[in-house]
Amino acid sequence: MPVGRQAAEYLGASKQAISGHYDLSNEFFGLWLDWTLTYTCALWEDGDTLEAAQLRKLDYLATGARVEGAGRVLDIGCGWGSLLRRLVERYQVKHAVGLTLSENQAKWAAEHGLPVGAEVLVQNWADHRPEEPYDAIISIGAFEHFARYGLSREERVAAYRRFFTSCRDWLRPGARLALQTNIKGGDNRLDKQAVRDMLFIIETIFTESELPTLAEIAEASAHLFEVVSVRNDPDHYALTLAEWHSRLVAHHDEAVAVAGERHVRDYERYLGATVDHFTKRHLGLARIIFEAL
Amino acid sequence: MVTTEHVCELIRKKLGGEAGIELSEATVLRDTGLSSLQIGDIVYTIEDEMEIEFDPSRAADVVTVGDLVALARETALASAS
Repeated sequence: MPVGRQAAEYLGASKQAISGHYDLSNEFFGLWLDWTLTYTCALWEDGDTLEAAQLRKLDYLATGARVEGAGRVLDIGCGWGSLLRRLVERYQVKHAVGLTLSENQAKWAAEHGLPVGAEVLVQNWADHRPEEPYDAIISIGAFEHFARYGLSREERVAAYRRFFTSCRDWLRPGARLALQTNIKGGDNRLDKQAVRDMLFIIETIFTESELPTLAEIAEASAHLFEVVSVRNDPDHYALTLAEWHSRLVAHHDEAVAVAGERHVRDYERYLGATVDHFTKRHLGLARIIFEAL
Repeated sequence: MVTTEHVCELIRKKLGGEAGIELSEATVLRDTGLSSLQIGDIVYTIEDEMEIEFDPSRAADVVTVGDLVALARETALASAS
């Protein structure tokens, strides 16, 4: 198959690449994430614990997507299932479907008591074929895996557009999509350390992944979705990462015992470096509410 | 002293040994398929090797392999004088 054709049909990071990151060890992630294993940027207010800030984030996106009492909600990139639980227990969603490519995440979610009505499928969004439309879709921290480093801008936007087209096709007109994703920040004057840390993260931590710009997201979703609201919260991710980094450092020896010295050092470097990347606006954190057209 | 061939070698290394185009002094760095991060890493690698520091505004104006070689030579000469 010609390279151009492969790129045109790019459907996101492979199961192997996702497994390489998220299947490292549930016990390892449990040492530094909050108890629900929510592994995405929180939404902070003064005096928050990490747990409270993570719930506020889930509530912000759930409310934005208008899920209260909904029949069917899709969570694309459901991680260890914290949003699925929140959707059913807090918002009385009747059927919450989560997609992940990580077997460990699905296993953990099942073993930790998913409520009746919540379901996790180990499936790429591109292979998802729902029998009925959804009332809302939420995707938190998955969009970063929908294009890989090295694709051209045109190829990235095409890959993102396939995602938005599928979401639009799965929603009723007027229904909402809530999307949270890292984005490229406005300040691209990177010093030597930032360049090397970013290349390290791309090559070692999040392989087959790439960050979009806000403009690429707008272009890819144009005429499929109307933008209801956008917020950019880089300081919230700097705070979240600093908390994760501090917890990991505090549990360094236990982390080495479950994940090995090299992985722990790599994660300490990545978590510490990205605090700086968000603070300096090399990276941003978009939370976007869309309405299906 | 930095040479055109050395910069081309750094580019080939970043591209995994396969450049899609013939590399020369006139090659536009952006046209090699390298990302801005990878180009930045090459610039910083040359700084490290030569123990020099580029003026950031002049480094931002670098477009071709030849521009980078010329800037490295000028900076090395200035820091030696």
